[in-house]
Amino acid sequence: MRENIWKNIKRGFKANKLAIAGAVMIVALALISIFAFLYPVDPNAISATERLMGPSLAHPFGTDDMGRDYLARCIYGGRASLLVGFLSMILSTALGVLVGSVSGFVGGAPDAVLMRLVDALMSLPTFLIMIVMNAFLKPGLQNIVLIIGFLTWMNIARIVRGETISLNEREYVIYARISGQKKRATILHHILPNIMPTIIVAATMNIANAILMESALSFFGLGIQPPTASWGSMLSNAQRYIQQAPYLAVFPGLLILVTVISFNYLGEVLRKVFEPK
Amino acid sequence: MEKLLEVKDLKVSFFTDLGETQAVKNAGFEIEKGDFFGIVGESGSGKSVTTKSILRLGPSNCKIMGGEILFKGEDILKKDPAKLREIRGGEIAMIFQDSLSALNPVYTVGNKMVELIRRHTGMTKQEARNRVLELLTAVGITDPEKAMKSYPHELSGGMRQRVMIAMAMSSNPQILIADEPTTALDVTIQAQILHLLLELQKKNGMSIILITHDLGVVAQTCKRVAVMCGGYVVEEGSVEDIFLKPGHPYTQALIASMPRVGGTFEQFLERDLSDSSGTLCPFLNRCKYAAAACEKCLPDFYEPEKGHKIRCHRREDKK
Amino acid sequence: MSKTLIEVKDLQVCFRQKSSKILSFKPGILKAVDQVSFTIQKGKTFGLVGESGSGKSTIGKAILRYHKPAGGEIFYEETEIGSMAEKNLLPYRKKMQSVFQDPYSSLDPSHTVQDIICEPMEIHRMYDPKERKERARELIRVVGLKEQDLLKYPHEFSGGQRQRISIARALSVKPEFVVCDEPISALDVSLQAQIVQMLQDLQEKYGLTYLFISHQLQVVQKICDEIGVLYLGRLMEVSDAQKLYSNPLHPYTRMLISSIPVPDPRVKTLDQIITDTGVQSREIGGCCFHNRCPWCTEQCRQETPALREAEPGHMVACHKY
Repeated sequence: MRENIWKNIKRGFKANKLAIAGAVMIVALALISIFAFLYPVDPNAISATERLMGPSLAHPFGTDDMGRDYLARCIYGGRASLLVGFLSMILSTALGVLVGSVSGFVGGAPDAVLMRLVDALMSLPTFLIMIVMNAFLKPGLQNIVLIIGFLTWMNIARIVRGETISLNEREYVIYARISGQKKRATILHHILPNIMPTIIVAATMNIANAILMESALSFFGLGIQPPTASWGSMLSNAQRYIQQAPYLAVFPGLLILVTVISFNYLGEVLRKVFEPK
Repeated sequence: MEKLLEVKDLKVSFFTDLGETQAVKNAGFEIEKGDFFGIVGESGSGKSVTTKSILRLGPSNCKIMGGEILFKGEDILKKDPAKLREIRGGEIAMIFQDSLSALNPVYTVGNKMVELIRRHTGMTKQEARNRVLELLTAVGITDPEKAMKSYPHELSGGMRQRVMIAMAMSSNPQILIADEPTTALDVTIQAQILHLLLELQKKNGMSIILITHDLGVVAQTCKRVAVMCGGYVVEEGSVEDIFLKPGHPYTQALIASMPRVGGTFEQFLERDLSDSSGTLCPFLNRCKYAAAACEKCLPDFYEPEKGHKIRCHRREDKK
Repeated sequence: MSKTLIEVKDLQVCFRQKSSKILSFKPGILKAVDQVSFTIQKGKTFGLVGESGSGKSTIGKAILRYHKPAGGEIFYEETEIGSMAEKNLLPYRKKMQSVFQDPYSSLDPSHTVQDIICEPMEIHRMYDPKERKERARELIRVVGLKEQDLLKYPHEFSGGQRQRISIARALSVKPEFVVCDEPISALDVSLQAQIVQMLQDLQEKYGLTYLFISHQLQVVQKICDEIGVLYLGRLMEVSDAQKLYSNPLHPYTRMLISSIPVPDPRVKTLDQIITDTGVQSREIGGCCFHNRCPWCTEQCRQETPALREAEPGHMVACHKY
């Protein structure tokens, strides 16, 4: 099964050139984010004289309204976005898998109750909740991750529950039950390993979604606070200067677009790879 | 007897990411009018692919690599898609093993059949309905009105197969191809369906090609049989020839390994998943009579008696 | 004198069924198993034969306590396990093992063969990890596979080989009783004989007791000592294997035997099938088989026949006897 997965992944990628581009993009972004400190310019260094300068050799992405190097800000903004995306994906995936697998495996009344809870939470207007929560909590990385994580786990729970229910009828799960295996052990050893592909695909899509949500939050000034760079807040700031310095919006905007598309492509390819043939 | 269908040197392959797999390496047989012809073999022998190729019903990655299929003297493989569609479901009809997935679940049986009949003939709705009732009664359904109002999933497996047969019979086909029609049914229902097929054949004089892995079914229904193994037809003959004087070691082993009431059944060598490539006898790895000649080349057919062909190097001693 | 290992008394298993009417609030109840009683002697094989809907698989799963019986009792050597609480069942689950039908879904594709065979031993806390691996090595050889196969994954094996792995898994905890639920139905005919032979050899070697469930009468005969014929959840006939074939009493058993296509063209059975165009139906009163029975009388339509001894050791549920 393991070797098969790698072979299939390689084949999946070969078939879809865009997917390779997407994967390369994500890896590049991740590396740049990790090694951001290697770029010599301070993203927060204000300079009154170098305001709103277009792209040049000294400042490849130009400078913003406070004279800060835009490339540096984009890099650090990327790091913030990716970090939020990744951490909230972990939270939402963990919650979603826990609730979905237990609900699907145990069935009966607990399943019904949990699923009604999921339904209720999914009907809440996410964005308004985010804004309200933000008003109550101190803005900052930790709280954004918590908010996004707690608002996006329901989707994963539903998907995981569906897969779990279909696995319940497999004879090896029936055998484990008849053998007297404890329910917790069955979920851990038999259900989860076999729904791993689904989880991975859902998680990948979730990162894309989380990055978008973070950008939106930051755009409204609710997310990562200045002076820390964030693509969303950079976009927000760029509105004022859209006539004189359009590049202020173009760079972070494009970066958000490319990153989200890359994660989505990766998710699509992985889904095709894991599809039972 | 005029030859209705002739399959000659058929070669069919599948193309996947892993390359080409030859499902049928060389298949050939003849069907006469009024024949009940059985094709037997294990899973993977190529029997299903052969018959699906007659009507070009294989999946998209399946290609006919060579050979001829002559229906009433004309090569179907060379016909254009429009002509083929006329023949398919018209003069040559087919029924499958899984009746549930073959029937559209959102239409009632009545709706589907009326639509089918009106498409092939010019009848009015009322005329078509009457014809459907006629057909359903002919296949042994005791309450055809109720059956017409039912959805496929509301009917039992046996009833569904009867409906499939009724649909196939609606165009008065000359050949009915039945691909493992009773494999998924209970044995008592299987007996009913096989009895029905024999009755229909007597009444309409059509030819039936029955594909199965169950030798018992073959012995009870077919007049002539082809035995397939690894993509080749290894033996062909009348049902008496095959069961009473089987010439090919594979046929002999298959018959011996059949469990029967009041008898015993022997062991059989487990199928080697890495079967031979195609230039040698497909039974080579498991044959107890394998000789030097077998490792050199694929055997040709020999005929110990008229109408009985065996593809083997070994010659049976005749008593 | 053989001891009775398993006794099933008036077993009833019900399932909730979705009503076919859209607006109905009352869920239908499907009686999958209705008042079934039989005993299995230690060291012997009891066969349960029936077609789809007969409830044979359900009985097997009820004995294994995968389903909870709605009525009746199940005894394992004098102890009633049908209504035993889950927490007390563990030692009995060790004594009872199972081998299932579908070789493609009975093994977890993400586990190695070694993990699969060791799992029941882990559940029942038998031996320490090193001894378990040793036992797995021993078992894989017993079922005719190689030691190297232990580290492979199920998808690398054929259907027949996977069934052998299932059997090795069942044997790992040294069970006394094994439920074989259609263990060969999904295999090519050529492999069926092998697996049946292996099961018989293992029975002799380890003194196992089998409940062999199958829809193929012709296969069951070789391995079973006693056979019960089921139809729509009720036992129609119980007798020892030889007698069932030489002298079947119940009309359904006779229909079943005569329906099996004989692989001999000189013996034509299809013409002898009296026009049975009947379909099995649970909704008829009296004897559940009366709508397909050529000897149906008025009594059959009204009264359900009880399972009675027609000859010594031969029980039939039919008004004829």
